[in-house]
Amino acid sequence: MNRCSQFLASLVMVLSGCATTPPASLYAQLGEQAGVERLVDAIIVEVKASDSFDDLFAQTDFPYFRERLIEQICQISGGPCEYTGLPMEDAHSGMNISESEFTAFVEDVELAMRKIKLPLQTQNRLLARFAAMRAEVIRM
Amino acid sequence: MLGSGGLSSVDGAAGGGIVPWAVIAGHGERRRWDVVASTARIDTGDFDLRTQAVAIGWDNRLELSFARLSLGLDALVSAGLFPNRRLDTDVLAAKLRLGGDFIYGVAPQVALGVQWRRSRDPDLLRFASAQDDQGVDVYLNASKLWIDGIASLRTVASFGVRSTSANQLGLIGFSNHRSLTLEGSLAVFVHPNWLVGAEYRSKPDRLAFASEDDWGDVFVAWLPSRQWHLALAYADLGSIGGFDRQRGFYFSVQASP
Repeated sequence: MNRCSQFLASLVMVLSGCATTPPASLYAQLGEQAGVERLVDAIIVEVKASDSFDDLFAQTDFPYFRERLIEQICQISGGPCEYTGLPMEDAHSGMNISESEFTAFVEDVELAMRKIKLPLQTQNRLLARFAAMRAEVIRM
Repeated sequence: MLGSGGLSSVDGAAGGGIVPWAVIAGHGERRRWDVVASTARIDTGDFDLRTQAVAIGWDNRLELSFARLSLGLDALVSAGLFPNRRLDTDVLAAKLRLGGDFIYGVAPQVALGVQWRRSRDPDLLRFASAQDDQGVDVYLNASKLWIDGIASLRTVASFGVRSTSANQLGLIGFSNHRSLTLEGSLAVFVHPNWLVGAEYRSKPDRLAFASEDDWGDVFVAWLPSRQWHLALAYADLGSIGGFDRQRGFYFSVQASP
């Protein structure tokens, strides 16, 4: 019910187009640097526990992966960071990631966000930005 | 993603309750068959409609479905206008995803569907003064799910155009003439497992003895898992068989291994 009234309140705001305060950036909603780090740690827990990837992550250098993913989430959420890893196409080149592996990763991100109890709207805003990278990740 | 295979519509196709979406029944995975079984019931007081359906989806590309619709005409029976029996119609259907993607990218998923409807009642033509006891619907549908949609909630929209010769989905026969009708739906995941929305399906109005109205509903669906989806709607079916303002609750359950 609380969610529902939140939804109605947001809908009214969107429809009336009169938000008096600018919406917080996604980076702020994620809890800034500490929140992003906590999220990435949660994502890695899910990825390691998952059986959806065959050996996709078998040779992953997780400390490196963690740093790059923190940078990337910070950057795509509007935080003051710069992603220093390879462009997405190059980073996934030769991995031949399938649609279902990509979906499994998105689901792990979703599960991680749910476990650390991020609000639903924050989850959706970040997931949409991950989803937008799909074409640069699969079948490279 | 939860909901990416839609719910089961009254005609058996994956979608909302009364209109199909461009999605393919099942879990949307490549090189895989999925099976979805469903049952639904609408009761308006004067009439009740029951449906049992099974749909199979392959490779997120092709959907084949079969539905048996059964219309109970309590109001007509008790008025002595109709023998004490139900009118049953079968719907055998195929839906092909032509392109696009329901979740990813900008373009909506687009699908073409064909539904062959046939009355199981040999006396239908006499009862309903319809011109035929079978007909084919062809529809084109575009559907999209935005993860960051209305108010940053997952939002599904679908729009379709249909060519049909059916009167009341074929439950009271078919015409010699085809009509072009429009249908659409809009729904929002207000919670990861709860979808709230509304649908509209325009309908032809060709029978002399009873007017036919557009259908609409508002619904709440609970998707506790990929395997189980339940939906409760309040539907307005307009006039049926001469009885106006047919409104009532619609309940459906679907299961998929």
